[in-house]
Amino acid sequence: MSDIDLVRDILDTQVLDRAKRPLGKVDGIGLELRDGAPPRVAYLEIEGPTAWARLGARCGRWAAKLASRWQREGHPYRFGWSQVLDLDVDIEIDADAEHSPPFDFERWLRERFVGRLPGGR
Amino acid sequence: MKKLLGISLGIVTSIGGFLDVGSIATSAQAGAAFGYALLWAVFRGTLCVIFLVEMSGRFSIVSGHTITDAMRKRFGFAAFIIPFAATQLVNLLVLASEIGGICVALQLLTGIGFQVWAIPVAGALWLLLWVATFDVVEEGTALLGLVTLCFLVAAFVLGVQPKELAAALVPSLPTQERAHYLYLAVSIIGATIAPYLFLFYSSGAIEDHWDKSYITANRWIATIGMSFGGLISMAVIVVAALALKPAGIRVEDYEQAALMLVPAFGGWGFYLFVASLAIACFGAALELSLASAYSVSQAFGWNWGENLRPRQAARFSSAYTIFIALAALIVATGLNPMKLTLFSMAITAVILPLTAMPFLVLMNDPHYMREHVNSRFSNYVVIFIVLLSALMALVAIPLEIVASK
Repeated sequence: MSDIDLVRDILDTQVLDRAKRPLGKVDGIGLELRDGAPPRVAYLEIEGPTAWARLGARCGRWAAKLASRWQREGHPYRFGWSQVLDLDVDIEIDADAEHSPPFDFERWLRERFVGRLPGGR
Repeated sequence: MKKLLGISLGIVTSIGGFLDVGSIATSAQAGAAFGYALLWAVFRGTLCVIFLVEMSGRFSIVSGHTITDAMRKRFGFAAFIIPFAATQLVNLLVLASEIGGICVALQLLTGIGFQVWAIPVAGALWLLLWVATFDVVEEGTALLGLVTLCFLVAAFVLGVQPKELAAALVPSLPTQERAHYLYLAVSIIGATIAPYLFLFYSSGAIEDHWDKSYITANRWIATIGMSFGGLISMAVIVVAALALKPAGIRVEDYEQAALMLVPAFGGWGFYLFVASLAIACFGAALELSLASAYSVSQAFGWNWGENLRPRQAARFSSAYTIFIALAALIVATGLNPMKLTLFSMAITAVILPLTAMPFLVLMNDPHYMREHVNSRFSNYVVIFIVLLSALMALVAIPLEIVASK
């Protein structure tokens, strides 16, 4: 891919970790404005409430409140271009899904509910 | 050889998944009330679903995306999420109808009221998804689903009239009960073109790593599998028309529908109907629970997959757990399962454009489909059927509600 269109090719794209496990979606893109130079992509974000905030500020606040139940440190989760390993149908980044902040909800459900039910392991 | 196995499995699966509570309930009512007259609705719905299922397979083969995944990416989260939520809500109603169908089958068999069965049936469904690998479950229910072929046999035993059948493939309007006729027509179309069917199919194509060599196989699976399913739905109409209508039996409840196989098979007919209803609904309920959990996971980028242990995909398995629990609650309230089913199917026809129209945009986007974009003809077929059905449903649902008061 020679030309990358941020909204068409990056926003809302599936992100995978280095073992190709799903990590989340690109929920937001942060730009850095510079004097005398074109803006530059500062970071990409995997963060549920950021996506909900795109529906409206109130929606975002509501989602953030809900997410605070399971979120630990490291939020909002952001990564830069330097971490991107491959960009095709999905974006592969240099991270480990299991031990990263976007998996807080997964871990929370696992510890509280799924793991406690018989056969859940 | 592997491909051939895949094709036959795909066909068996689509038969198993195609005939569900919606098709049985709507077709039984249609045949009993209007004879062959509504066969055109099954015909039209089947034509549309063949196109949609073929497209969904082709889409995943060429683009590497599942449909839900691509819809979010193409249209953005804000535009995607509301139609998505509406579709999931309707899926929930359909799942409740499927669970209701199983419960009614158990009621017919035991005499114990269907509400009582809601929680145990939902529990069994959930447990199967929770502990078994899905391959086994799906193939098992798909094979058992072949019991529904008994409707086809019954249609021939009762002496289907091919000339009248062919004539009924062209739409017509009856002289009386027009509102109910219209309502049944859209319910039949909604039951035939269930959105979960093609969403599920596209997930399967991704999971089984279909590459471009599957493009022809995909076309065959969609065409043969879906036509076969349509044929069985038509057989249900024919059997109801030949067995129930002359006796003046109107199908308001499943008790009346359960009699439709008796003239063809005698006492065994009752048990065949009960088995068909239970198995078809159970297979569809499994598919639907998974299809919804898949969609939610694909919408938010969670790990998903049929053969992951619940602990490896806690969000995915929580999604189907909640979905099944809510559906069980709806059934346990004691709403008439037949009415719930017909309403769910009619609503499906209303919201169909919310899934089908954005999907058509994807199918015509060369960025995703390259040289495999849709032909103009297949666009027109889907647009025509989907929009017309939605319009008809918007007229028919209020009329039916007014009439039933």
